[in-house]
Amino acid sequence: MSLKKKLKLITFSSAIISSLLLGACSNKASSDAENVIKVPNVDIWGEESSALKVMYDLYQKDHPEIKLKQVTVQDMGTALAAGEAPDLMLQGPFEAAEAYKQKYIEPLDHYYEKYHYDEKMFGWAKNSYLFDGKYIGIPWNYEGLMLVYNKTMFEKNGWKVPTNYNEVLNLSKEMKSKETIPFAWGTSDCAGCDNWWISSMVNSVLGPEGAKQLYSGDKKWTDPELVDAVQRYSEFWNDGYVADKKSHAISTEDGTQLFITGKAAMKIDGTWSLASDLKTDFEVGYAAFPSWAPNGKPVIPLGIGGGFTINAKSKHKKEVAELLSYFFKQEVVEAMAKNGIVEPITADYSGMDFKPNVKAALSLINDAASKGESGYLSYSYASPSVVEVLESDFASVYLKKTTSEKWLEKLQKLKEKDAKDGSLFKLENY
Amino acid sequence: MAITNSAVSSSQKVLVQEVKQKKKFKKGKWIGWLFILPGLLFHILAVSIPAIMSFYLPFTEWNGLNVPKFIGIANFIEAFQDSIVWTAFLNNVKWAIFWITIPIILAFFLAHLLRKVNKGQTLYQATYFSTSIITVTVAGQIWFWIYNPFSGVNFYLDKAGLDFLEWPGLTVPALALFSVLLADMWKGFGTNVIWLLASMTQMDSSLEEAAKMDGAGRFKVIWHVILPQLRPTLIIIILLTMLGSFGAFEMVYVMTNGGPAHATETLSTYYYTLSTTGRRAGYASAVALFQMFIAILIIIIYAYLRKKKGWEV
Amino acid sequence: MKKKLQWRHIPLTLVAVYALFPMYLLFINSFKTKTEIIKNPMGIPSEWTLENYVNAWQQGSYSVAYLNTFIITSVTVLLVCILSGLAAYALSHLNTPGKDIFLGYLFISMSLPVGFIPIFFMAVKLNLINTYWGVIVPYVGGGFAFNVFLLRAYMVGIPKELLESARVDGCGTLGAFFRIILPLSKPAFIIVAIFCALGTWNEFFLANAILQIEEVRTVSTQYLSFTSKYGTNWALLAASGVITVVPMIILFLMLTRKFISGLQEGGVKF
Repeated sequence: MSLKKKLKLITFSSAIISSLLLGACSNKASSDAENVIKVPNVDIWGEESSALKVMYDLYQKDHPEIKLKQVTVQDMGTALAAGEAPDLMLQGPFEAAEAYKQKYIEPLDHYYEKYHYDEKMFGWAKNSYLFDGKYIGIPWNYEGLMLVYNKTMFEKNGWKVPTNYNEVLNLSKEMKSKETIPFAWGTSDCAGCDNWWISSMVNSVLGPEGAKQLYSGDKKWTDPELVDAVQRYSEFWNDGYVADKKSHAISTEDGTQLFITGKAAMKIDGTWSLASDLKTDFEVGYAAFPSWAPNGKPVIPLGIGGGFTINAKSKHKKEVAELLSYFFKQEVVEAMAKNGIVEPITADYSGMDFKPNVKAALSLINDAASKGESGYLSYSYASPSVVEVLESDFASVYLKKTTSEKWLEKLQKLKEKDAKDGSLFKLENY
Repeated sequence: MAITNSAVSSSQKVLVQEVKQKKKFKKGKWIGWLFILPGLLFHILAVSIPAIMSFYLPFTEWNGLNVPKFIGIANFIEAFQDSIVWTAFLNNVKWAIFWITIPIILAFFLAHLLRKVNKGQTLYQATYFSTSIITVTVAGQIWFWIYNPFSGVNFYLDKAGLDFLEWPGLTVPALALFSVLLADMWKGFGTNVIWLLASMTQMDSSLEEAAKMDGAGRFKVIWHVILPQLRPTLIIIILLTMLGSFGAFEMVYVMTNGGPAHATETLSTYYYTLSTTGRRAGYASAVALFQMFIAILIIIIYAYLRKKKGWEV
Repeated sequence: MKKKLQWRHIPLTLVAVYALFPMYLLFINSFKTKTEIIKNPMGIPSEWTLENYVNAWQQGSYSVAYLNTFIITSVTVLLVCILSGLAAYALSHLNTPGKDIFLGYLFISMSLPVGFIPIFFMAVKLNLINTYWGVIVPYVGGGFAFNVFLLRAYMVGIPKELLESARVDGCGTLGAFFRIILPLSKPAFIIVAIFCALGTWNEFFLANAILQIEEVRTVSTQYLSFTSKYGTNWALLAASGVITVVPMIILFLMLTRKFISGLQEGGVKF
């Protein structure tokens, strides 16, 4: 072979070899390194999860020899299947149940006993992670839906916070005549957010006990009161009171912008949003979301937002369990509450320093819970197939692709299917 | 005798050549496949095996985590009764109809105009093509901005006092698909312009001259002279476009995710939703087979055109 | 005559505006502050700021993403060129038996829409999640059929006599590939390489599904990291959009002629 040819051959083969090597090397973090625990990134839920940092820091201080590595996981299901999930995970009750069925997460009864997680925990919160007789997770918050409104605008116009459907309707008519959009709303990137309206409707029209029966008992989705409520919502939407009939074409952020810029006067949001500091030039007010019954009283639907689970394949289960015990330390409890996501424990918040709106919202929820005026979030407690439609398809009702009756019939059928599969949420535990 | 001699020797030559070729044949046989094999391996992993799986999965129920459960044709029965599947299918059909008409006609006219332009042919082509290199997530986002009822095009129409002229964008479900198509056309029409222009430059200009001299109007020239010469290119473009229409996914997903209320749902977006958040991989694969049906139809059409009409492609 | 030419520019320019407007939008919005975008969605920024780029670069971990995407793209392009090239050679100039049937099979395989579930599932089972190979294999394999066709169509145009004479000179089959076919097919290879690079750089869905941990994410998927639960910072999004597409735009500007002529070749071959 001539020299030139040799050179060509060498460059050619080295190109192939190096490409093969490059392809193989892939920045994959050494997952089984000693003393490295993979935990959820503090930014996972934006400001809302910043309290996690407090927990991590406290633990780190006591255990300098262990490194907590924050990771972001796009899709927990995939990660679990691929064995790439972190040691500590954040999962909702249903997710956790599914994962447990696949033996991906570890039952925590043993650790509950050791660390007394449930010392001050609400019984119903703990039970949300009860599955098959075992406690598979630790609920990290409870959340509710409420009305967020432009207090300054209300005061200027002499408007009163509406408490039932009739008042909402009248107020909306008046707002519209003043060129203000009653409700800000955007669902193009969150079709599931429409579910919040339904939660509110279900709880206020059927009452907390009725809602319970609806999700797991004998009440049907085709109950005439519900059909009427959904129909009224569709009319309400089509009269332009919700983002001027454009909510489905704008994003949640656009919706928020409508509120911030004062174009819209109110919006429905969850307590988690207290963590996001809405930079407004007016005062933001919080109230219980008005009842959707014509003359009813507001009910605040509550539910568990998520919780901690431990990866069954983790090599650091004991350490993670200990890390979790730090969750209940005063500093972390305070950090969580400061962001408006309250840990589901009885705690003394009086000494803590909160933003006035957070204080107001917290007392609102506490009040409602103690007076029995709190209800059940549909996305936490309705059965899986029902939730799936609730979270994807409400638009077909107000966009007139189907009638309220037909849509609710569909939900009822799905609920019956879930009942047969045994996947109804066991609200008796509450 | 001389003739016989040369005949013998030439037949000898032929014999020798044949033997040589046979040898070469044997050697070539082996080597050819060796060259193909490495690439084929990747292909098998990435295409063949998944294709086989796509034929098996529709008969199962699977949530992605557990083991697929065989359930016979239940998925297909459900798919036929699923209104969303039919909506999606119809949307794909609408997509195809749009794409084989408007963008192609637009590309044709642009190419036709470009032919006669002296300066800037490359510049124009480059401009039109540049839209295709924008990552789809970014492109979808930009168009979403443009269509925003409060801060997009409408914002400026409002300001100009033309607020009765509302650009519907994605708000009216019936028009949402059209709006997405407009954005998709923006992204993809450049390639067609270049192809058509290239084909046009290959045309025989004398035919055009002759027609013009015969007094044919502009339209007639296009219809009877230009189009037939472009036929092979047009056929390929149309077939590829139709195939692509049934796989329409990216722009739709990024802009509307199939909403609102499934107004822009395509078979691919439904497949994607079912397999990710819906966790119904078996059913999703059954839906995907609808797409395959169209692909087969198109191949049949293509084969028919090739054989029967002898169209050279 | 001049007048006739001039009027053509009007519709051509109008369409050019249609083509460029969205990119103009992306570009100028990246220099505005978040609040200004709300008040002035499509106009020129009153104050030009670079803060979005700085923030976007950090928040999106673009330095890592760029490295990942660069490696993935280079390896993919290299493999595609070599593997498709060799296969195309075998199918054009070597008397490979069964090649017609094989070509027919490849053709059909191109028309099958490949669902991503099976690919994803295989990646999980073969432990390729979060590795470069997890995406490189589908990219290379997915483009194989099409590129083979493209290259083959070009190679068929190379006269057999050239190969014959090379053989006579004592070149092996592989040698003939390197000495004759490769240099002569350079335009076709360039086209394949360019489009492969473009497609790989912009590929989003598979990369998003398979490359999940931050260390291996690609540029196109990092775009998603600016949409949080609380809302979208349009300005950051715009800046990150520009960061995402700039390399391909630069490549395009440098190689415009090659891009265009590549497509033209494609058109001609048909």
